[in-house]
Amino acid sequence: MGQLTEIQELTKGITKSYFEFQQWLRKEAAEDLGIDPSEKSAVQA
Amino acid sequence: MILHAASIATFFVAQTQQAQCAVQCVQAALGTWWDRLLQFLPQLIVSVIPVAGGVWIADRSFRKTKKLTEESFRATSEKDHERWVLDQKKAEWSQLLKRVAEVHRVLRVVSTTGKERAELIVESLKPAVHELIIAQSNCVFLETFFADQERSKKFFSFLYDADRISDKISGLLF
Repeated sequence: MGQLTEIQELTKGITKSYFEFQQWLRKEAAEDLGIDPSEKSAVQA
Repeated sequence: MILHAASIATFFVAQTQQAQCAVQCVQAALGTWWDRLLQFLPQLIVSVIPVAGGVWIADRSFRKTKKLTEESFRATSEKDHERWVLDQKKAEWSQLLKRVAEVHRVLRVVSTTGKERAELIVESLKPAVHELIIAQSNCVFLETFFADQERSKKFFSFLYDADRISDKISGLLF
């Protein structure tokens, strides 16, 4: 049970890190391409 | 003897007169040439100057047009090149963000139980991270971005964390 909680915590942590990372990278991409942050769709895959 | 002296004197007088005539003739000939030149010069000027002026204006115009064309071509080439670089950057960012989205797909497996989710993360997170590293390695036009130490550190620290956490979860599961 303790292991599962730990796994859940780790998963939660990496998921949170991922979202922060994704937001940051998209912001950087928009900045690098000279796109206004409101035009995010332009750099979406 | 007196006759002889007289004939010599006559000869000298005749020679002198002939010489005077020759000088006068040359002077007259020179005067005529100079007069003709003076008469012809205005005509020459009147006919040559407009032609020379026309040639000069045409040459100037040609050079100016050539210079403008060259500048315009250079500006267009630079603009085209900038646009091309921007398109390449956009394509690389797109690939990179696509790989990042793949990590999202791995982490967002919500339809499974805790253990199953953890197993799926262990199975798929490392390959997704690996693909992201490959995508980053293929980025040539984002060199400026990755050359920045702080940005590069932030980018790779997430990959490192993801890899480390995958190993940790794997260690807890098995």
